[in-house]
Amino acid sequence: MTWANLGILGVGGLLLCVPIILHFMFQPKPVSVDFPALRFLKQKQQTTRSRMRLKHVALLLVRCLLIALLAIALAGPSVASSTLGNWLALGGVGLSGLIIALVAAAAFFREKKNWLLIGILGAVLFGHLAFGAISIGKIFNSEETNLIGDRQAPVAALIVMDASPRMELEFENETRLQKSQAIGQWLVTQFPNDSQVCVAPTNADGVFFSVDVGAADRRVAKLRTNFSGVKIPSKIAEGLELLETSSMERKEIYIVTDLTTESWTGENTQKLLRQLKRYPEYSLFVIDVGVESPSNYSLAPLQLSASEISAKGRLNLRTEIRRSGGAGQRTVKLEVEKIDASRPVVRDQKTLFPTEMFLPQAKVIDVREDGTAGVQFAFSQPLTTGTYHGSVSIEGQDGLAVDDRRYFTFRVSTPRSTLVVHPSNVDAQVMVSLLAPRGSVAAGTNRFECQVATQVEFDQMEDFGQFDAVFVLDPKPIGEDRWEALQRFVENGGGLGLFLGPNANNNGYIDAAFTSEIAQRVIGGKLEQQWYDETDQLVLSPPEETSHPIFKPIQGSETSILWNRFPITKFWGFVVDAAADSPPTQTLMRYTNREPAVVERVLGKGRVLTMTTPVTERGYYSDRKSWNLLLGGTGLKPVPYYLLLRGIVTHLVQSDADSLNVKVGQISTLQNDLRQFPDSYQVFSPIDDKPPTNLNAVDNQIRFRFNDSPGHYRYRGVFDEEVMLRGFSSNLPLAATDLTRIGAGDLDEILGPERYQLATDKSEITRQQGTTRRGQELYPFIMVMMFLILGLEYLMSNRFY
Amino acid sequence: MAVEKYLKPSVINQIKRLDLRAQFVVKGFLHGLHASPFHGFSVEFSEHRKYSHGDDLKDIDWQVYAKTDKYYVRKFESETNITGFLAMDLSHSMGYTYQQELTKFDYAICLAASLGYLMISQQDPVGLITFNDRIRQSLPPKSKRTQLGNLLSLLSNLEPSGTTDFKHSVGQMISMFKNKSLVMIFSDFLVDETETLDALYRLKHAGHDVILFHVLDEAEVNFPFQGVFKMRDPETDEELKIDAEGHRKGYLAQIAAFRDDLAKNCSRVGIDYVPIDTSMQFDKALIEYLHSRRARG
Repeated sequence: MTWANLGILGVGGLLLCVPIILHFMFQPKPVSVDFPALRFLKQKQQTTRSRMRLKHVALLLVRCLLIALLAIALAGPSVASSTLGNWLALGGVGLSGLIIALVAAAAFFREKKNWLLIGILGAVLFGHLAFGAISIGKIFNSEETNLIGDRQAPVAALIVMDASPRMELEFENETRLQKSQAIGQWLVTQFPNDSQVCVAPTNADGVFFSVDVGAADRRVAKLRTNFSGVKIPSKIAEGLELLETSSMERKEIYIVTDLTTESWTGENTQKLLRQLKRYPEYSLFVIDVGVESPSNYSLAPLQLSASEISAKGRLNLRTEIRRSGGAGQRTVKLEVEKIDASRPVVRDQKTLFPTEMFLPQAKVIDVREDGTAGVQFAFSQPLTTGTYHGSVSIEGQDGLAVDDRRYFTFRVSTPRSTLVVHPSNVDAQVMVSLLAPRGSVAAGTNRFECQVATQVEFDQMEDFGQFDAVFVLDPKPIGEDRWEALQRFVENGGGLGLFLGPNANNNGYIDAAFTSEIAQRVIGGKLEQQWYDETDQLVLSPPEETSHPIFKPIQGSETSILWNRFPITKFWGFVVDAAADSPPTQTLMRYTNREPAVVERVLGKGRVLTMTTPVTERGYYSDRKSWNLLLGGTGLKPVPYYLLLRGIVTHLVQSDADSLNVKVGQISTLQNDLRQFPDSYQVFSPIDDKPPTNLNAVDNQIRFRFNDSPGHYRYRGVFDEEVMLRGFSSNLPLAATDLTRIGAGDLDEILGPERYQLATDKSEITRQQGTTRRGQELYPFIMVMMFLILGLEYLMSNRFY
Repeated sequence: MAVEKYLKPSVINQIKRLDLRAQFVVKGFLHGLHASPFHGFSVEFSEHRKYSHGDDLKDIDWQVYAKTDKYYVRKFESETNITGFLAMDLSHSMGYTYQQELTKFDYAICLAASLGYLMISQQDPVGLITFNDRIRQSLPPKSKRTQLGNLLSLLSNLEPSGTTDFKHSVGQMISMFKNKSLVMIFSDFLVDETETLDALYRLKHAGHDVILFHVLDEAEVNFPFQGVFKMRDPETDEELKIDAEGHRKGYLAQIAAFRDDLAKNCSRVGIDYVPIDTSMQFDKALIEYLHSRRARG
C-alpha cells in the first residue's frame, strides 16, 4: 500500500483527538430538573448507566472512525490491483463487523439478555475476525510482490513488438505494424527520465536496452515485419532475462500485438508461465492492435506435381484460395519468368530481376464467406532446360497482401538415366513401363531413360557411373565383385533399388551371396529366413511417418489407400544393422507382423533401398505360389504400389534431391556436381535493395540458410564461361498469415490469469499504467464507507440524544 | 402576615376563582342528584315525598305504594352531620409540576375546594388539616358558608415544603378526630409504601371513612423526558444523572406497580383509592369518582 499524502495521516491522527476531547469536554449537559419520584429511578440506575456509557463509547468510536477514514481518504492510499479484492473484502468485513459488534454489545447490555442471539452474534463476529485475519494475511503476502508507488520513478521497460507478416494487415488506412509503431513511439516517450527501454521485435535479433529514449524511438520507427517465425512468448522469455539484469526497481513489460493465435501459440509456453510467476512484481501490459474480424484473401501453399520435368513435360499446380470475411470473387493468375541470362543484375544498388513472363494463365474464382476454393493450373509447353521461377497470385486489393502470392521454382532437365537389371526368369516390363512409358518416350516427355540388362549382362558391366540409379529386380545370387561395384556406385551418389524375391532362395534359405559382409554393408542389414503366410492376412502396414520422400506421391491420401487388399505371402526376413558406427539405416515400411518391408541405407552420397518382397510377381505361377499380389491377382488396380514405386524411383535417382520449393526459414540444398555446375554463386535475395551474397559449393552441394523472405532466391554462377542460373522459391507457411485471434482463456494460460492488463488504446494504457504504478486508489471506496458510517453515526446520535 | 396576604386582592381573586371553580364542579355534580354521594354513612330516613322523575328507584317505598297505590320516595336526613376532613400533604414534592399548569398541590387544592364546597352545601361540617412530617395547620370542621372561604384562604396561602412523615401525621390526625369522620387525604404518597399503608390501616381501623386522592404530576406518570437529565428529589435533595430513554420503561413499570399496589391494598380494607394525575381535568376526575362512589351506594 502506498500513500499520496502520508503527512495527512499524521494530521488525521491528531484530529482523532478532536472527537475524544469533544466527547469528554462537551458531553451533553444534563438538564437539571426536580423529580419527586426519584426513588423509582434509582433501582435501574446501574444498568442504565453502563448502557449509556456503552452508547457513548460506541458513538465516540464511530466518530473517531469517521475522522480516521477521512484522514485515510485524504492521504490517498493506493494498493496493488491484485490485492484490491482483499482490501475491499477487509473493508466490508470491518464495517459489517463493527455493526455486528455494536448490535452484540447492545444485546449484551439489554435488561433481558437473549443469550442465543448474543451467542450467534458472537460466532458471526468471530467469523468476521477470522476472515479479516485471513484477508490481512493475503494482503501482506501479495503486497510484498507488488511494487507500487511513485509514478515518476524510472523503470526498466521491455517493449515486445509483434513483427510477424500478419502485422501488415491493413485496416482503417493503416497497417497493424504502423499502428503498433505509433503506440510504441508514444510509449517510449511516456517513460520517466532515466528509464531503461528495450524494444524487442519478434525477430531473430537479440534483446538489449537502447542507449537512450531516442535510440529506442528510432528502433521502433525502423521496425519492419519479418518472416523469422519468432513468437511472442519466446521473445518475452528472452526479454525477462534481460530485465533481470537491470538494477531498476520497477520493471514493466509491454507487448504490442495483433493477438493472433499464431503469434502466441506453438511453443512451450509453460516455461514462460513459470518465468512470469517467478517475477510477479513485473507489470505486464498487452496492447491489442489487432482487428476483431479481418477481411482477407489468401493462397494456400502450392502443390507441384514435380519439381523437375523433362523438356516437354507437364507440370500441374494446385492450390486453394481462402477467404476470411464475406463471399467474394477474385482472379488468380499464374505466370512464369522467362530465363534471362542477363538478370538478375545489380544497378544503382538495386537488383533488377527478369521482367519477361510467359505461360500466363488466369482463373476467376468465387469464394464463399469464410470458405475456400480450389485452383488448378497446368502447362506442358516445350521448354529449354534450366531453372524456372514463377508465381500464382490473387489479383486486386486485399487487407493482407503478403499471402496473396505464392512462389514456385521448377527445373527442366534431360531425362535421368536408369538401369534395370533382371534375371532371365523375371519380367522387367513393370519397372520399364514405370520409368519410361512407351507413350511418354515417343512424346519426349519421359523423365527417365531406361536401359534394361539381364543379370548376366549386369555381371559383365565394369561400372555404373553413367546411370543415376540401378534397379535390381528379384536377383539371383550376386557376386562379390558386383556388390563392390554397386557399393562404389552408391557411395559416389548413385541410387540402388533392390527388390528381393524367390531367386534369392537356396533350398528354402537365403543364398549366402546375400548375407556376405559386403552385401550386408550395401543393403544395411542381414537377410535371414523366408517368412511365409498363407492366411492372406499379411499385408503392408500403412506408413507410420509419411514425411520420407518415397511417400511423396501418396501424401494427402494415406488414409484412403487400401493396403490391406494386397496380401503378401512370402518375404525375406531382414535384421536391420543398427550399430552405431554403421551408416544410417532406417525401416521405411513394415508388414503387419512388424517385420521390415522397405529399408533404406545411406551409403556415401547415395542410397540403397531394399524391398524384402518382389515387385515383379504376376500373381499366378504354375510351379509355385506368388510371393505377393501387389501387382496382380487381386482384380484391383495396383495404384498404391505404382505410387510407392514411383516414390522409390524418384528418390533413388535423386531428381527430388534439390529443395527447389521451401518454406521461409528452411535451408535450401541443391546438388552441385562440379562436373556440371560452378563451384560458387552469387545469391540474389527477393528483396531488391539487398545486395547479393556469395555462396560456395561444399561436398557437391550448395546450401543456403539465410532464407528469410518469401520470393525467389536466385543463384548466378559461371561454368565453362557460360552463365548458369539456378535458385529456389521460398514461401510462408500457411499458419504464418492465419489471422485467427487468440481467445482470452488461451492468453490466460500463457501469461497467467489476472497477470496482465489488456489495453487497446493510449488512454487505457495510461490508466492501467497509473493503476499499476501507483496502485488502485481506495479513495472512492473509503468515501462510500464514510457515508455509510456517517449514516450510522446519524442514527446513533439521534437515538442516543 | 398571613392575614395581610389573605387580604391581598390577588389572594381574594385566587379564592374567588377557587370558590367559583368548586361551585362549578359541585353544581355540575349535584345537577340531577338528590341524594348525598356520601349516602349510607351518616344519614337516616326522615319523611316521604312524591316520586318525581329522576329519583332513584331504590328509594321508592314499596310498602307505601302498596297502601296508597302512589309512588313515594323515602327522604333521608343525616342523623348527625357528616364531619369531613380535608387532609392535604404539604410536603415539598407536592409543589412539583414539570409542564402542567397546576402543581400537584394546586391540583389537590382544587379537588379539596370542590369537595369542601360539596360538603358545606350539604350542611356538613368540613375541616382542613395540612401535614408534611407532622400536622402543620388545621381548621376545625364547620358547616357555615364562611367555612369554605376560610378553607380556601388558608389553602391558597400554603407553600409546599419539608418532607413527608405520613405515619406520624396520621397518628396526630387520629388523636384530633373526636367522631368518626370522612377523611379525604390528598397526597402523592412518595414515601415508604409500607408506612403509608400502616398509617391508612390505623386510620381505617379507627372507624373513619378514608378517601385517598393519589395526586401525581403528569410527568411522574408518563415520564415524558428525553435525553440526559440531572434529576433532584426536592425533599431529599438527592440527585441522579440519567439517560431518560434508558430509564423510561423501567420507571413506568415501577410507578404503575406502585399505584396498583396502593389501589389493591386500599381496596382490601375499604379505602377509596383515587389515582389522579395533573394532566386530567380535575372536575371530570372528581365527578367521575363521586359518581362511582354514589353508584356503590
